[in-house]
Amino acid sequence: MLKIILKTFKDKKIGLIIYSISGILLLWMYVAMFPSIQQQADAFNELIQNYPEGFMKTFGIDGSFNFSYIENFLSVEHFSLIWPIMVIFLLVSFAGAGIAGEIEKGTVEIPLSRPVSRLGIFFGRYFTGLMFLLIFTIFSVFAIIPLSQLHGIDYQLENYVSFSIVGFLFGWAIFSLAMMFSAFFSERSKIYMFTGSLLIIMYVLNLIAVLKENLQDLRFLSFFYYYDYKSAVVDGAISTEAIGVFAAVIIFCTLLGAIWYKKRDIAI
Amino acid sequence: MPTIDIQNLKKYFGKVKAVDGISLSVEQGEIFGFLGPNGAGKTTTIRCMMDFIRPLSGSIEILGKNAQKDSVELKKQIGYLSGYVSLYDKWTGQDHIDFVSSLNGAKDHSKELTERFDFDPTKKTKGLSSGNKQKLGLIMAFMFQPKILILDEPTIALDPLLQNTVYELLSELTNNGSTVFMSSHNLAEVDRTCSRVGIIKDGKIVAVQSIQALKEMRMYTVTAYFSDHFDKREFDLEGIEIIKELPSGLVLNVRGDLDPLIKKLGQFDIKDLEIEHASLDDIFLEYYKK
Repeated sequence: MLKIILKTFKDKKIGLIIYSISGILLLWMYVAMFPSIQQQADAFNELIQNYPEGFMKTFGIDGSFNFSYIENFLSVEHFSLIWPIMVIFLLVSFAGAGIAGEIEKGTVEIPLSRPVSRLGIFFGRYFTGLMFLLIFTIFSVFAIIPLSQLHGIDYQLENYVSFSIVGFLFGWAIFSLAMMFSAFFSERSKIYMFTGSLLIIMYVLNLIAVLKENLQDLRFLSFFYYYDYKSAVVDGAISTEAIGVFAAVIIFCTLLGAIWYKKRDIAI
Repeated sequence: MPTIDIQNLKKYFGKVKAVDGISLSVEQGEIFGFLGPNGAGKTTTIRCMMDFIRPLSGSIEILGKNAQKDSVELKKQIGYLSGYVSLYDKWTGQDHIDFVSSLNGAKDHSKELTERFDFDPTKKTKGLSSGNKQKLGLIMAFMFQPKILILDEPTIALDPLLQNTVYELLSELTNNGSTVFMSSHNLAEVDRTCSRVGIIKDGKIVAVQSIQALKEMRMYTVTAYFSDHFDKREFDLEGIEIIKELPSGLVLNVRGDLDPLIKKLGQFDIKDLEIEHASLDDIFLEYYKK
């Protein structure tokens, strides 16, 4: 398994480096923008308070929102949508290529014809994906330290630690889901279609739950409800409920994916 | 104990009976040819042997071990070549060799094979010709001098010179006690390399014979030219098939005893008669048609 991890990592490291640099550059863009926003914070805060309630709810903005702090600004501008989209693209494409993509191309016969167990192949790809997520999370979140110092901005390090945990768990749950689909199917496009559709449905359910009080229980069906970036980045809080749900999804999807891959026909 | 022992193997894909209860065994040191028309079940059988797909029922034992339960252990001693060699586009040939070597963790002979196949391992595989991809597939299959070689169309896309290199390697391996199970459509290759063949059709084994026994089968091609009028319906006899009608004659395929045909021909004025033993190709085709 270690050899598969090393080889997969070596193969895809350039992509990971480019992706991580993109994450850092995006964060830099917002950090560089922040001082000018901060100077006009009162005007922005007043403007925000006049936005429609639905809009405010959609972007997780409440009455206590304050543009004087970079955590508030980043939570709305970066960690609400851009960061999770980057994580989703990274992990779903990795999961699709790692198992189903290999079956589709036929290259899976190379490791399969060697003395390596199927679980070794599955978890080799799985742990490499997790390492990618960890590396991306570390670089794209903790780049805040040098960037804030560069621009002379105060920041709450513990809040970013909290966010990195929530973000990592969110990414891990999506990756486990995508790896499970990748173990089920033999074409990459199906992984993208199933995982993508499911995530869009979850996103919409969460939005509907926020906007319609009588449908608020729908939020429990969405990863985006448990991905509480605002509490993590602004307050440094992590919900134990979110940890529990993500952990359950991770365990269920990983085990089901691994067992399925072990038992399935790999017809090329 | 046979080196490869397949008993009552069945594999269905929905309603399609890809392999339907085949049994065969291969002894140590043999080169066993596995033949059959397209879609007969050859590749499905090979994939079951490699544990890529799981049989519906039946058993496959290789070197006395179960091909499914002991798959990982067995693959230390199996060299495999796919019928469709698929490679990682961004890797060079050497990357493939190193990866396979690291997974097997054993001493390999890739350098010697690279030279014998005249293969450049420094090039990325994306731009390789189908022949060069096949060479790399063969190197990966042979590089550990395995006890068992499972090859699906080993010489496809290779020129005659390289085909000879493959035959030499097969001969060297079997002389050292290795066993080869190979599928092929190249009947000349089968004739040259295999000691026995199994013929599969519609998922069932229709014959398992030594090449010698096949060659000794009583099959003839008879070409008869008649001086007078003849009625082809009179040759509608058991074991005789009209292959072709000529302006004043017939080409007949005879299975078994020639005597009834000779007697029938004796009732006509024969201008010319030619009797040939059927070639191995004709014999295989006969099985394919059955």
